Amino acid sequence: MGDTKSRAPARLKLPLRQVLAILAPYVRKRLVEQVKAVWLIVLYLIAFQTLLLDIPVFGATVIAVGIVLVVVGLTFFMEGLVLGLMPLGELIGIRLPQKSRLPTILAFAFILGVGATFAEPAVGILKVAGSTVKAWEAPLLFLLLNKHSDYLVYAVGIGVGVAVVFGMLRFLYGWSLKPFIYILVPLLLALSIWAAFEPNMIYLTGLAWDSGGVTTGPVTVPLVLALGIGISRVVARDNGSGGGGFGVVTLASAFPIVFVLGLGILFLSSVPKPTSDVDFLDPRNRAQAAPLFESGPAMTGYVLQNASAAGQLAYFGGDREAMRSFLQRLAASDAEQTAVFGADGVARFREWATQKADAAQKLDMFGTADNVRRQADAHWNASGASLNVAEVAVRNAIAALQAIVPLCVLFYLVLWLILKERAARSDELLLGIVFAVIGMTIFSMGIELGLSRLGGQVGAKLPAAFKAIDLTDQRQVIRNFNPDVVQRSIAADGSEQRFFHLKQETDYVALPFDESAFDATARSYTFTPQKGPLYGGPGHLAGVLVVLLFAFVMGYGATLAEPALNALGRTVEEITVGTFRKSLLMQAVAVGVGLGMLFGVAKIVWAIPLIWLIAPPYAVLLYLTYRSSEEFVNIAWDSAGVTTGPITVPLVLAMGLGIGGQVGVVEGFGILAMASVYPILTVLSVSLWSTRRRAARGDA
Amino acid sequence: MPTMRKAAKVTCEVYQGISARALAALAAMGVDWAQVQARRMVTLGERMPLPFLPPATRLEEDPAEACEIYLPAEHARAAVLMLARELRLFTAGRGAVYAEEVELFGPPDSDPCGAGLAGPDASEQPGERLSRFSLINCVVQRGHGNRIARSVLETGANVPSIYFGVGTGVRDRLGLLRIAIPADKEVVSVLVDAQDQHATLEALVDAGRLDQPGRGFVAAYPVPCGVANPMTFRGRQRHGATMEQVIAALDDLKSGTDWRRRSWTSDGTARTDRGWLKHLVNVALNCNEGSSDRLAAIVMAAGAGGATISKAKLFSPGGKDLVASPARAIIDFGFDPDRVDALIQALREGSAFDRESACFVEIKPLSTAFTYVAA
Repeated sequence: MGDTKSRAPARLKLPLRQVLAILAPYVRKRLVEQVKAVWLIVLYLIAFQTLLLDIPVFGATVIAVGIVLVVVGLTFFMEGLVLGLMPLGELIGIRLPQKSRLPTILAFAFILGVGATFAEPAVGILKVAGSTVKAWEAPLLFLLLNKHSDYLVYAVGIGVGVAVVFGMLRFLYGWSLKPFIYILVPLLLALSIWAAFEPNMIYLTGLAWDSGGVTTGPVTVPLVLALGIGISRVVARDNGSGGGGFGVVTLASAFPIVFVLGLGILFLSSVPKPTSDVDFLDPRNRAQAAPLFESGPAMTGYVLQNASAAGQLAYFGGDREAMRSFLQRLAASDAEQTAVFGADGVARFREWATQKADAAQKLDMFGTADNVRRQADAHWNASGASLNVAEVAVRNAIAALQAIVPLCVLFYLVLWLILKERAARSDELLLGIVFAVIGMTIFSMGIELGLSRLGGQVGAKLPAAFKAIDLTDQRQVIRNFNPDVVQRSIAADGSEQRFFHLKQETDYVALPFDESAFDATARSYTFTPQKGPLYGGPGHLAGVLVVLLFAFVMGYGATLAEPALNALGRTVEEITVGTFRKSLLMQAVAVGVGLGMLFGVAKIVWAIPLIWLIAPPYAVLLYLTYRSSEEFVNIAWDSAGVTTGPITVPLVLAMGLGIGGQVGVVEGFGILAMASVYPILTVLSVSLWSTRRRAARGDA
Repeated sequence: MPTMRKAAKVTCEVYQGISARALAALAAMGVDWAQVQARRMVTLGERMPLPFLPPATRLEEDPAEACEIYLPAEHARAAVLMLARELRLFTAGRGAVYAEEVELFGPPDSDPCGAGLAGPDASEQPGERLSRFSLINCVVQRGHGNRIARSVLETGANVPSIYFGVGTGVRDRLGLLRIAIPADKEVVSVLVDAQDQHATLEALVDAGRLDQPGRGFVAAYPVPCGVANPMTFRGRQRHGATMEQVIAALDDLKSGTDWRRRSWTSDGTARTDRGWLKHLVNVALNCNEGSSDRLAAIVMAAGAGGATISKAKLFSPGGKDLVASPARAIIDFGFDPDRVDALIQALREGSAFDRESACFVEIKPLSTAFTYVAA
């Protein structure tokens, strides 16, 4: 009885030159593909900042290195997806319905959904997006983003878990996606419309819709897609060649919105209404305001850093003496500083004392003007922004491992223990997982060092197109500033304008003297250059249009680089045997995201309530969904969940925070939600058009 | 102890809009075992770049599905007729249906060949005509399929269909390095008139440069009866009838397709003395998807030069419970007929015919094939 192993052909050993000759075109092809995906957004951001806004890119070397890292990292990551993660998902999908019963499958689906949420740092993104939210302007939002952010994660996780369960049920029983859409979307819209009339909930809707957009990240989407493809190939109910498998990502974007809104409703009664900071901090309202914070000292720390002067005074009951004695205690005790400012409290206290405390408070804390100056000197000498690359690398590596390994372990456990199988080609699978981890580490590093910084700079300076902004990263502190150097001049309208000369390198530059930037006790002058408005006068339509156009192209360019969309495009092309090309899908989605960004920025600049911008496209979508075929409905709605990923989100956040901060809105949520709606419109339109064209040629 | 038995394989390839009706027709015919594969059909269309410029031809791709069933050999012709009538395939531009003579080998419970049709009727009505064809399959690297299809379309044959596959070969012996060598393939499948077989093969070898190593493989199989889809051009209609309708009318008048012969070697032999491979048979292993890698290794060890693995979905139009899993893989390769017995023995030892793999073997004649053969 011979065995096949002894007759298997021998393993070929190739000389190194041939190995390199085989590897070279492979590596080059993959790298070129990612360069083609990324070049547009990078070049665009740089060109926009230097040419249109006329501001040099700050820290260009680090950013350039970061961009190279993004390209290399994406190459590894995409290859890892294609080699390892997706075949693993498809294998489980094929085997699971054949070898286990329904309860096991559903339990696995739920664990997968919850696990994917905890693995990918969606909530971290939401917290960054919500970092400008003030506790008194949107109490419910503040509570869910800070003290109760755990509950937020649970809500989102359970939402995704339930979504994956329903997704599996859909495949197993052949349910169409359309009824889910017809029920979920109107429900969400109705909830959002109701929320628009409730002062606390209106700010939460932006967060809820955005949380739906960030859940499905670059690891979850390919895994869930491949799982779905595998399952639908094995289910006997589907008549036809089994072109299903899509639709889970849609549900995983919709269900969390329901759960987050529900969470908000749960906490609605226990938070105060939005009000001014003076009202909020009044001791008479302390019982209502205190639960929003971890502890009393933490609340004090927050108040010192974020409230206006009047608000801070109100916090101490209007009693100046009480504030003074507290501040003296604070300045004297390290333990107190840690309690108030949290971890790293001593450094944070010093930073606050030098930069944010007003003159009276500084005197309170340090006694004399000399002490204040000495304190400021100590701070400036100690601080120095230094880039610790190793720390960045380690942090991102841990995040990548956390995002990928637990899910793979789950899949392997299911494979070995429940399905009792070994994977064929397991060396490729493992290599793929390793590539994915390496790739994710490297591109996350690259995004942090390069793309985010670039986006942050552009985003912060973007409002220069339509209003005057301060260029805070070019802020200079001039120490030992002698007020005698200030001279007087007269303006055309007869008002006196004071100015001084500053020596910059070899030039002597005349700068306006701003009294409020001069700190007499520390004898320092903080000079912040200003820019803009560049197009038209302040708030002029031309400037705003420039910003909207920028948002469109940025959304378009960033989407083309997204790995999850790449994976979806490949899968769609494979399933349709090439009739729906990956490039067509990616272009359609990219245009949709661009449109979404445009409307999202319009929402922030003109403070339009989110519901007005979301309800009409969803209404149109419901109609288009009704008219389209099941296959395209699944693909189109899934492409929405795919868009907001590791490349788009940091750029969107930077832009949103930048503009929002300058325009002075309460919260900058909503752009991500908009960027999720319009791609569905564009993809459905494209598919309807191509179906109409085929029908016109008489294929039916 | 399973044996070889003769059967016929009927393949019906239609545009996706019609495929639901094809499956219903199969159910009505009492078929219990059908295998469906997603494909795309490629035609030439017109595009008007700008109103004043002449229209440009471009390739148009449309989704299609191919259903394959097995029947007793004597019912093949009737089945082809029934499907062609039901789906109106005698009208050009809808799809094709054809039958091939095969031998099947496998255990009884994965036997795809049903009892056959009830009351088969093999008589052709006026306006219906079945012809002899050659089925030509050309396996090339992914991304090159459209170029091959275009060269086929430009010779004015019938509409080709393309499906995806994965190739096996030397790359499987390279360990992890194999990830650097692409294995994805496209298979271009087209029906041509039997007399045009060699002209088309020559054109394909030239278009795909198949005489270079690693470029691909082309083979022709005999199809005794079938209806093809000749509508290769779907642009604006400029006259009262399409060219295909004119050709069909002339075929009727002349009772055959001889009048449109284009190659002048009377027995269809090759003009060139390329290394045409004859005396091969085509073996297709039809198994559950999870076993395809293992069985492909057995096949390669048994001496096959290379195989193409493609996926299909198996289900029962009649709603019967099938032993095999719906996710099926088909391992297709050319093989030396003298070594088929050894191959089957190796498969049996590799437990290919167990329930887990639910494999059966289909063997069909191969008229001519061509690929690069190392000297």
